Amino acid sequence: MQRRWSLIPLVTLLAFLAGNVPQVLAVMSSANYSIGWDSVGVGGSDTSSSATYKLRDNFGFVQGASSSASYQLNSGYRAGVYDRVADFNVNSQLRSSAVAATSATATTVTVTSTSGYSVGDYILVIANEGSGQIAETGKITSIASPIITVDAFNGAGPTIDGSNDLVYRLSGSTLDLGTLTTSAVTTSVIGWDVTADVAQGYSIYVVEDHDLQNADSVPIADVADGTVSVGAGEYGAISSDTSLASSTFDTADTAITSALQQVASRSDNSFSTRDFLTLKVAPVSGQASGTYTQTLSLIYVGDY
Amino acid sequence: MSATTSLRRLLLVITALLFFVLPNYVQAISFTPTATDISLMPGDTLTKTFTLTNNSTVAKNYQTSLNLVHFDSVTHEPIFDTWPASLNSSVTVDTQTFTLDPNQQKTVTLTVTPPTNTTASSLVIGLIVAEVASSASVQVTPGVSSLVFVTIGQPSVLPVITSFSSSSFASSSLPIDFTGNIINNGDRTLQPFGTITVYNVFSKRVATFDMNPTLRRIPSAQNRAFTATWGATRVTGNFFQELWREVTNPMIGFFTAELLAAPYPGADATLSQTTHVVVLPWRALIIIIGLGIVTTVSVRRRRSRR
Repeated sequence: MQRRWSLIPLVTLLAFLAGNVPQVLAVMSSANYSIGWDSVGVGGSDTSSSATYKLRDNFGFVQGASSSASYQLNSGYRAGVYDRVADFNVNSQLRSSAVAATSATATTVTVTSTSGYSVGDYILVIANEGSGQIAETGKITSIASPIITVDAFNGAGPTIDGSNDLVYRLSGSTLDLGTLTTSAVTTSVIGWDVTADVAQGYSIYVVEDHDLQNADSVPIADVADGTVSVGAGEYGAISSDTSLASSTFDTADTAITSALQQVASRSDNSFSTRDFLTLKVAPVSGQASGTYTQTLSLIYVGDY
Repeated sequence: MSATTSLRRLLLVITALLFFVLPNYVQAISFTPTATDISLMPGDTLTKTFTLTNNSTVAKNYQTSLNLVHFDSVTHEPIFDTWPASLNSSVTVDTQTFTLDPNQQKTVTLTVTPPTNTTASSLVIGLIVAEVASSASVQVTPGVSSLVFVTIGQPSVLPVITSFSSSSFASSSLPIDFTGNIINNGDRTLQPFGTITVYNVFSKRVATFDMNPTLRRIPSAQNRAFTATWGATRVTGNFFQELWREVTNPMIGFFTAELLAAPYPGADATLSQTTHVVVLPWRALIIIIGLGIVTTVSVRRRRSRR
């Protein structure tokens, strides 16, 4: 009887070890091969082309997918073939769309008027507009005046208390910097939205065609000290992405140049990920008058 | 009322009207593929096609451009250099500028024809398609790029595994991360392709997983770390949560992990390295041993009573 009882710990231990069964994750690849996709029971060619057309045709395939603990099957025509696609959406702060904001929550902002705003619009919420402004962007999912609801805000999470807090629409390619003055830093925002089926992620780069300059090619100088200051005759930008590896747009007001510079990045697949760039302009006393122009290109680059 | 004041009011009214009258327009594009490879011999010609779609609600003009690309050794970010005129006859794009209506697509074809006397080498081309600004003011335009990794001939392939290790030598349960560092000392862009296989002390295979499932590339003179996880990733819990984990997902013993990979798809698997880990579910073992002691003591007490 005593021996039987003494066996209990040993049996328990063996039972524990018995659970240590092999856990095989089968994959259709080895060090030497990979089967991307294959067709079974099909003859002839599924592509054809001439100088003026290209056709990828199919007939009679059944699309579907099934799986168990040890395998995964995607069936159908070219089920295993797809090219990485990146969708890139860039919009500028529409100055004429400004409405005052009185309060905000994680996904809503209360405004003085919702006229001109529609579901699907991208909006920019700014607290204390000016050189030290804090902003966030979102995409409108519903409007129940005076409350605008967005899918999610991305940004620094500004505190909206109704004092110099504004909401703008992000729309189109023309960026209105407004009337520049030597007594303030003028700001304007460029926002973007990326959906990319690229597992390694992506980066967004900014590049200019030339300095911000008037018709006589008189420029407002690029910021060089990390801060665009009132009356200093400086122009620069700072990104909402605070973890950039290869530029200073994450930590300081930085000059935009004719070389591609990183302003945002992600390291995995992205669905509607958003960032924005805040441009800051502070003309110097005696700055030549006129309309200042520049083309800024935001370039999506998928990681490799 | 002065003429200036009247003009200012008129401008304000026009601006306000424009906000309500003009439809909100989306400025968007999509592009595919975002990275691709070309491998050819000197004198041969290969083409790659790329598809751009205008997802904006209005027609847009676009312009293509080429850049030579190299990579920052620390951040690994691509750096777009000026396109050298010496490559103009070897690499061409079939279109420079074009216009797309909303939702219209355009196929851009890149043709690569290295001269017959080109030495075996590799280069990276940055194809950029960017929207052309429509008017003179401050304009913001989107653009997209595809990195084209070109291999000409058979350049040297010299990958070196500088390290292969687990996140910790001893763990109480899964998951365990295995990280392999590979440096590309050759001239060919690498795309390590292989598996990490875990064997138990009886040399029986326990798990196999891809070491680079997304086929990340390693440009020449660059190094990359590839991490694969054995077991499902999770957040570390308290003592009892970890104990439950050890009991419901039992794993114990000494294991050997073997990294076996080819430097790029289609090449022989020449990259090999092993490392070892110990999985010791100490919480579960303490409980089991404790139960054993309690059981033994109680049995002895019963026996002594008899």
